[in-house]
Amino acid sequence: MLTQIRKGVLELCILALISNGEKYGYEMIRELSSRDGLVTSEGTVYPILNRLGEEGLVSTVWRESSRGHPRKYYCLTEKGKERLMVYSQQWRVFSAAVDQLLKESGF
Amino acid sequence: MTWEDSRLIQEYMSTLEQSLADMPYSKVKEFLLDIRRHIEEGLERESSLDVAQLLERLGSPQDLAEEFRKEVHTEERIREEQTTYAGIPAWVVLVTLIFVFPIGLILLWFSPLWSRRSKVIATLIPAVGLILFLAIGLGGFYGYNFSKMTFVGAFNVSPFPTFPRPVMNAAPRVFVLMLTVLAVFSPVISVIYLGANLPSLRKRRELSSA
Repeated sequence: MLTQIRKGVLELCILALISNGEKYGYEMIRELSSRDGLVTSEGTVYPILNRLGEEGLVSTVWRESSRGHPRKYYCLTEKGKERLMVYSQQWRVFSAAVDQLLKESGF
Repeated sequence: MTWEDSRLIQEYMSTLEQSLADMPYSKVKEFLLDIRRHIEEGLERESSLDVAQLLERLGSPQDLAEEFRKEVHTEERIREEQTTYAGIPAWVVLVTLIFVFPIGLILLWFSPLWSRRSKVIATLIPAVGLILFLAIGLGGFYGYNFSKMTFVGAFNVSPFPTFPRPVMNAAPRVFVLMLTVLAVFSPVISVIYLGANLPSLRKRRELSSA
């Protein structure tokens, strides 16, 4: 049941993670999976990143690492910033409502 | 990296590629590259990590393929939602393109129905048509003067004054006529091209080929 919610939240987390500067895939995914319960299979983040790119929420740029390997960096676009504002607002309302309901039900 | 490690990676990648064989190639290629770079990056940064662990963290190729499919479908759905939201139906854009080409062109470029590639092609076809049309116009003008001059010249000098004219002009005239028709109707060619590349038709084609 939680897979659908997790995916939506993951999208929000991705946008938030790159809101303070660009990150490359591996870096971002390690940060995500260092938090419990956010990512189950690390590889599944890439199709989401790709779709966010198609939607114009993130843009990508290739840069060379210090060891000379190319890395694809993801950064937030203006549209992505707007979306992040909306999503984070919605998430706060949503999670507060669920918390409240669970508390009232004694869980 | 041992021989066994590279075999594991190779196996993983080819299973993933096989399970996405029916998906759009450019997208699959990009995805495979992302995964490959992820593996390389992981091995480079965390030397204590063994390949089996890294691949397990990535998820099974089947899981990744399933997620990839879902995302590509979501992407298509979002594009369709955007197209209905945008308001201007495809047929309005196409009809305007035929009758008031410049306005149609503006509508086309604002429409999310077509990819940028299709828009560029649909704009270039009439642009080439226009250049062709101008070239024919100018060429016809000079050609006419030129033939008149030689005709006049020939009339004075040659014993067969009327001989070269019909022979030289008959073939080019048909050719010029064909080019003119092509040039004038190039917006129509654009419209046919755009019609064939409508998202709904494209999807139906993909479904029937799958």
